[in-house]
Amino acid sequence: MSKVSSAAKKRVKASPASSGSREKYTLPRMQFRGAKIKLTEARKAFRALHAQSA
Amino acid sequence: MPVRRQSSAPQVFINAPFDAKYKPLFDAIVFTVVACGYKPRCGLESSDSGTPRIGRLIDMIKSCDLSIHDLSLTQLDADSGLPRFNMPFEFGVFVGARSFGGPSQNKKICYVLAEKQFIYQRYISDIAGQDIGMHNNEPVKAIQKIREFLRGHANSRSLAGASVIVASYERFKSEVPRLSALPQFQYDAGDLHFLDYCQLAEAFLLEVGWGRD
Repeated sequence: MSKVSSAAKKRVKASPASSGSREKYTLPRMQFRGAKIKLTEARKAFRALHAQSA
Repeated sequence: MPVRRQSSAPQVFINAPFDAKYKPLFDAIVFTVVACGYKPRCGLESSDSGTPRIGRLIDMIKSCDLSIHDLSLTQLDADSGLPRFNMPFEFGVFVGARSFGGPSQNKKICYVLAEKQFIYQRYISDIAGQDIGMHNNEPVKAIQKIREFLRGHANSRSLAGASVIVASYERFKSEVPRLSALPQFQYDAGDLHFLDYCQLAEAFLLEVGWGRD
């Protein structure tokens, strides 16, 4: 199994959207109609999780 | 105040086994499609009993310009002892749509995944010699192959490198169970509905540095 480079891991860990850095990659709107989990709620939860681990 | 027009994601039809054994590959493929800015679609999306499954699949295939077909599952079903034809069948529907579907369908592009070089040629010789991606049943290889395929169709969009997607996916996998433990999310992390999984992947990526178009 290929190994993930430690540089790539660091890039992911050190790049929360809240850091204010300009986003390099973008996502168009996907709209998963029928999903029970709301996008805004999930984002908030991930943000809180990342704040805890920071 | 000028209104910013929001682009909607191009759709990718994923034709792959839904078995538990295949789940690590399937989850990695779905995550990669989202990370590359495409909306994944597959037969797990809806359980509308009012419309026959084949009708829903045809509608889905019609609306997707790109598709990924994993034809690696060739073993007989352990319970019935019979082969499974769903994946080759859906691949055939996609190729048929491209060939006979008229101008709105003839730009369709598909990508076939298999486990190992040369073996697939023995069970589906009609596509021998075509550009097939080998994943060797490894999620990291599948991520690399899918990202490479989608990059070729991303136009001006800048896609994250495979190593960044792999690292993001590893982190996402470790965080999903922690998210499920939160009081507002009452779900079993190992048994997420396809649409909820996609929604979480999108939310996660937007929180680790991906922006909006």
